[in-house]
Amino acid sequence: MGIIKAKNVVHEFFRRDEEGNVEAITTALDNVNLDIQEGQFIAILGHNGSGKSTLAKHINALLVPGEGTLWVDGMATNEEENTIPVRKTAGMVFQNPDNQIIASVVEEDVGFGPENLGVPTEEIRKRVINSLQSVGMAEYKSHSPNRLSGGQKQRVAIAGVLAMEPKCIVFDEPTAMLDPGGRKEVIDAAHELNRQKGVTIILITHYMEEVTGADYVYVMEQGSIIMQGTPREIFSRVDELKEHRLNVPQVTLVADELRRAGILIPAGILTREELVEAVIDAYGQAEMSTGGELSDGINYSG
Amino acid sequence: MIRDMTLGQYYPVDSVIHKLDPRVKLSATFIYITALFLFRGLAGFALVTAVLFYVIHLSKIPFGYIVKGLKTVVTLLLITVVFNLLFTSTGTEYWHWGPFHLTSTGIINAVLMSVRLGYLVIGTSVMTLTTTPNALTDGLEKSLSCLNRIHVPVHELAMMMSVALRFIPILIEETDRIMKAQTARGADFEKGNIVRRAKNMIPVLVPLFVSAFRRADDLALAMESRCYTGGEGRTKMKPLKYGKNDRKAYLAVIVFFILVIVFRIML
Amino acid sequence: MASIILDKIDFTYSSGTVHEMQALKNINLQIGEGEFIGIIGRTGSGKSTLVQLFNGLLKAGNGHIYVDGEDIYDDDYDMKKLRCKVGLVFQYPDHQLFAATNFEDVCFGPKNQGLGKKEAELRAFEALRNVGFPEELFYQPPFELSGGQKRRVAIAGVLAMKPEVLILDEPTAGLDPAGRDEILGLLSRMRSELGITVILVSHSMEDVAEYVERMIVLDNGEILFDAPPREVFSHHRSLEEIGLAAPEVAYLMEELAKSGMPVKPGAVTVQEAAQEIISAICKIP
Repeated sequence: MGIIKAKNVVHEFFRRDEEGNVEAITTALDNVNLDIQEGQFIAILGHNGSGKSTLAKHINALLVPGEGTLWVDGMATNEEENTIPVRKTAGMVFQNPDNQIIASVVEEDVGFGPENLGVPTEEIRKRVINSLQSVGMAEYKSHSPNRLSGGQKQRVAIAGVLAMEPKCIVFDEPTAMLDPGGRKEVIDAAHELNRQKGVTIILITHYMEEVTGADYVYVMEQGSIIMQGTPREIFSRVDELKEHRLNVPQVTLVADELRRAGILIPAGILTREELVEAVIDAYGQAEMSTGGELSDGINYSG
Repeated sequence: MIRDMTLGQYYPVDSVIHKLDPRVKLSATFIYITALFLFRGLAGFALVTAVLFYVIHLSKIPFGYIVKGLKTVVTLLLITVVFNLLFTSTGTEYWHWGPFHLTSTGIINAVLMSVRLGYLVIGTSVMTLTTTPNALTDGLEKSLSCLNRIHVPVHELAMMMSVALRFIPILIEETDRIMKAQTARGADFEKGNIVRRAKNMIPVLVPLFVSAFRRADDLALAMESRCYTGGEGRTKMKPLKYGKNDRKAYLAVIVFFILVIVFRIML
Repeated sequence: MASIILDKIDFTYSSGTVHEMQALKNINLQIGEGEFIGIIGRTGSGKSTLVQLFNGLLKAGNGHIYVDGEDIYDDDYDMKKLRCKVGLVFQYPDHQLFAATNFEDVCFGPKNQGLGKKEAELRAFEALRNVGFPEELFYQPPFELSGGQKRRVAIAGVLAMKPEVLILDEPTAGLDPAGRDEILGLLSRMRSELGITVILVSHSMEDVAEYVERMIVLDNGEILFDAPPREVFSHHRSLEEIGLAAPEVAYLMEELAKSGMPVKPGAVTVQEAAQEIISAICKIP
């Protein structure tokens, strides 16, 4: 079994009127199945309201399935004695950088998780320094979070989770409130943790550009997983993505337009480098096939 | 504007005062406030002034920065001064009109009260400026832990206080932004009588409360996800331990307090 | 219609204290009638400060601002009139929505202008219609709306004051791509239908490139570029230096040109780029 496994997970939100009668039911998760292996970098894509944040909260046992089961490292989240071990195994970074920093000094905030777990003092200090170093925030350890940039605050939040030594970190739209610089800081930090420490990363986002580096992508809509595959597989289905009104990276779109015009470009182009190479190839081939005629022409005029 | 409020904002520099145990600073502040209401005469005044300025000097916090904290209580100070000036009827009278008097005692009282209030604000600012809110609440939690026995949820209260302190500057900034957004829609917060003005604040208060509740919700979730389950079984990253300087500071505080009392009785 | 002129504007926050910070330095700017402008810069570049000067929420330390030829810092200048003329929608709709219903909320601005109940309601109705807000939600509380719908109500709240210039600070922050395209499309439509000047403030070049005609790039409180998007993107090296990025296609075309393909660099949209490559390849024979 993988580190995160979901089997037919269903979650419904009930809206009740003043007397407590159920007024409306919203199905936030509808038969979701997942199997994520340790050490993977997973991306979950979807619009606001697609159920992706609800799924994130399930992985952290902040919500438990109404039907079906979700296992984190083999522990079923709906069993109450598993709650704390699950949260320790799968940490979570939230969207709003301000609303998840508890303390008024960076290092005290990073220490909050280990304090809750009853880690001995000396060990907490070690973990705090290590975690801050891993996200490149060690020099800010005695600063107030209020004077940091959005990207820096998110990195502090990551360090706070990291200090609990989780095997997996769920990022719930960590960049939605950041500017492009901050966005890059956070995504780079996530990749760094995945590569250096082998932490399993689950990145929930609606920015397509952030997905290209993932090992595997799930696309959600209305509580269901509607597409899944490697980024290359997903991005080769441009029409489907457009139909679901998902943003496709510009290079993928250009590649798609070119293919439609009959130019030989492979499907699933993800990066600029790939596209430049493919276009130059196509251009070279076109030149080759007509090259003879062209030199003839020159001969005539000469 | 309101953003200039220094009260409660930690000022990060490295100084002897910053390094003291929060319990020392708490009791010292408490004793200093008591002393402010006990001192008498010029010698007493000189003593409380000298101590205050010496501590500020040791704390390495720029003096101007501390004084700015006084701005928030200027109105309160002025009201006290005016009341003392006009409503004291004992002492040599210089001027009077109806119920109002201007007397020598009144002037002395006004000066005394403004010194007391001013020093009180400065003194407590020095404490909050040199102590992180978390250390402060730790100090309170530890000092008051005896109340646990009579089922006062000391840890929970301390946690609430530290979270509140963290969010005060954020909410102040937010208020500023909301006021601007409504001003851009033609709202006017300075016109009209008190009732009118209070009513004008509704477009500011509603978004502020909505946002504060959302933040509280988010924060509760974030704390839960980081395995917070209350005070039981928690360890501390920075457990409070008295050092050599703390003992010296306690001694200094006691000597100071004795001197204030001695001056009060003798002079 | 309104024109705005900024003449040697300086602005400093917390002037004379330890936190003193100069946000704008010697800004000279002229904004004409009916323009569609993007003001771009990273967080802290001074872009939000700049737009708050336009409607007098902040007052410049030095320099003058003329709106329709009148100096707004003249003692007898009517600030309230200015705020009706230059409407400003802030980044978070949550910061301005307060009333019990969406309709009532939009009435707030016109009522502050001193209009009667009937006139204000008429304005609110028109504004909500203009932003494409569904009628069945008019009398619902604003707090339960989706992010995109909240944004519409917030824009309508300012639009109901009939501004001649509409400024929006990060109008797409927190929206998903679908919501973002809807809002930007809406603004573009309103600008042509209502003939108002629209100014977008954003940190994302890619978002606004397709829509605006003029781009003002701010860095460190100074204007770095003031030109049509195409021209601005041709300076993508210096954009990168200040932490902004040109759209991917601009880089793509440049790299292709460098590799010896006969394409013009400086494409702004996907269509332009694709067209350029296709015609380059098809031109060979």
